[in-house]
Amino acid sequence: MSYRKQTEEAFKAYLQDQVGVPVYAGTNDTIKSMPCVVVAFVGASQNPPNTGNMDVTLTVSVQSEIDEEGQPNALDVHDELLTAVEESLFWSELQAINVGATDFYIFGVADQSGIERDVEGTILRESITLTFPAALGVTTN
Amino acid sequence: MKGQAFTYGTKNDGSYITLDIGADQVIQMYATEIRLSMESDSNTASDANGEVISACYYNQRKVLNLTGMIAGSTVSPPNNIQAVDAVYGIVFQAGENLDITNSNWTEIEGEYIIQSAEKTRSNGNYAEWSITAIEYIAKGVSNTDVPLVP
Repeated sequence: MSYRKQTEEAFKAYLQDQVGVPVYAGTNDTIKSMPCVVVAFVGASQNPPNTGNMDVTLTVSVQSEIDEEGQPNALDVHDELLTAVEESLFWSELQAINVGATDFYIFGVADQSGIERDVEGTILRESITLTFPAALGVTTN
Repeated sequence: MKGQAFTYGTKNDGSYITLDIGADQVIQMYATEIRLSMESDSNTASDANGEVISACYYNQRKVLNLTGMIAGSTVSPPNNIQAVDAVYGIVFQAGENLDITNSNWTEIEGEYIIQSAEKTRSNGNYAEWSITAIEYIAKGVSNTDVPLVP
């Protein structure tokens, strides 16, 4: 499995247990149900050379539809969801992603930036970007 | 010419450096830098004009500066994070023996004594060992001195 797919699958599975809304991988062929969380593999570079370990950049977005005629209190729901996602991505919580790892392992979070907000029509999207060293095939015990 | 062959990086056959150190005899190291120095001591004799007329080199030795990440041990699964952490924590001291085997660069192989060593953990980086070790070369004296040609 590629780094892209493995990374997105690992974060999707982890965040699915943390939030009560659908979590989607960056590229998918299903219609998204709002509000939702989207994990998207941005890119990776090998570090150190000739090891297969990668410094991965990943974006986690919270997306909601904010519409006067739509779901009431959508903005409040969005903010609560964003808080839950943000807290789940701090290392004290995120390290749980490695428990029982067999295919994907994160050594730590080297950089975390955001929250970036953008609006497209009635869709509000807020994104957090993580950069972390990771390895495929590393186990925890 | 489309390209030029060079020796590149710390390894090119996929192998790790194997260290026999402390309680573990088969530690695997991914080297980030390998520096091999050839050193010796010397004495010179000068004539009345101050020109060197004779030089003697002795105590020839290899000095190896080795820096890299510990990738486990062949006696434990190399991709098991806890096994790798345990190997990283193996205790050793300066003055202990260090035997090195490496199929990629056999010149660094040998039985060294550790002069100094550091274990480093820093945020945002893989943890490393840095070792400076020395091996004296048992070299017999030649039966013909090499004269200095003026």
